[in-house]
Amino acid sequence: MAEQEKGRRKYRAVCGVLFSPYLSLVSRLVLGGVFLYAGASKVFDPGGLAASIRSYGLGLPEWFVTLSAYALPPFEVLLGLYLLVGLFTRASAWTTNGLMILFIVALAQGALRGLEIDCGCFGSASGDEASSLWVDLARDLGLLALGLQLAFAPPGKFSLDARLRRNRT
Amino acid sequence: MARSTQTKPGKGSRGDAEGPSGGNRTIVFLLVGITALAVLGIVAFAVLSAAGGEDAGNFTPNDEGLLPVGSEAPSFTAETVEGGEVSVGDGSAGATMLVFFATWCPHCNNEAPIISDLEGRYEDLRVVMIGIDDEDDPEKVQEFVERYDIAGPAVYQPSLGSTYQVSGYPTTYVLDGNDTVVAAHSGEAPSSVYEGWIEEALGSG
Repeated sequence: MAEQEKGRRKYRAVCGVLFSPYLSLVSRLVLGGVFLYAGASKVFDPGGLAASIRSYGLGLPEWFVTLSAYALPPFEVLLGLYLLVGLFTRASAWTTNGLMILFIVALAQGALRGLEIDCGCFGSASGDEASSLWVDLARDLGLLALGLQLAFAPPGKFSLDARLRRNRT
Repeated sequence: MARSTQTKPGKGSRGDAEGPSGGNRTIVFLLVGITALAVLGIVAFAVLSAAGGEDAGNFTPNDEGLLPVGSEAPSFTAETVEGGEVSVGDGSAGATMLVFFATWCPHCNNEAPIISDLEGRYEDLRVVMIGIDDEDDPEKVQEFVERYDIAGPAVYQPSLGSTYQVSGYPTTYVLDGNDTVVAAHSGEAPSSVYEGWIEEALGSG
């Protein structure tokens, strides 16, 4: 009985941390900041992003490469802004998680194939040198963890969502 | 009575199970509308940019920082790795393809067979392979072009990299008969894209 109560207390403590508004705030700021920076660094150089996508050697049709090169950066900026202010936090988090899973799959296959390429995550700011895809993969897994926290936890009292949901009494 | 009393206790603690109320609902609808419009705008912009398949006209070249299309290519004369001489800028070729590369670069190795194939298919095309990397030397450049059966002149002259504002491998310029830049691209590109650029260069030469 005492063991069960101890376990329950532990579970509640973990939930308390995971669902803490402070952790949600940190997750939002980090994930939103990264997305905003990543999108803004690529938005005026679709050619550079298209070249980065091609370098993964996935055999994607050119129309898709161009479509992604033009659509992805502004979309990342939009998601970044929404996460930073905490607007539609869960929908934004799920969308970033979907994107992150695509990035992780692309990076994992590139890393496993031993490709020596720059991930293209932050545009040409990262230079012409090949980046370590394993490091990029680890970073994206960390960001996915933050995204999942935001997707399951409430947006938190510091979000615009919380302001909008505040009840009138 | 406050609306929050109508929510289930478990959900209420999650903080976002309750919907917006009163005037907030109007704001939320407005924000949803703006978001939908923004997403639609991004999609429309991207679809319009990508429309039309994968010919050269619809390809998105990676040309940031390179010599602009329509500019005159800097002229140069260089010694080839076989001991001859090649000149660019004297209007002697129907079209010229300048490929700046490094022998160790995987993308350059991927692209070399395409370059070799294009060279064989366009009689009036002159391919000039230009090694500019510090880790290379004339012997490595010669070995590279022989391995991929590229017959055009090959040179090793690192200073040409800065002349042509090259920042990545491979970087390709396609010049017409007047040595005007028809296309500039850093990275790999499909063969069909190169064909489009070469035909444009030959047509306007």
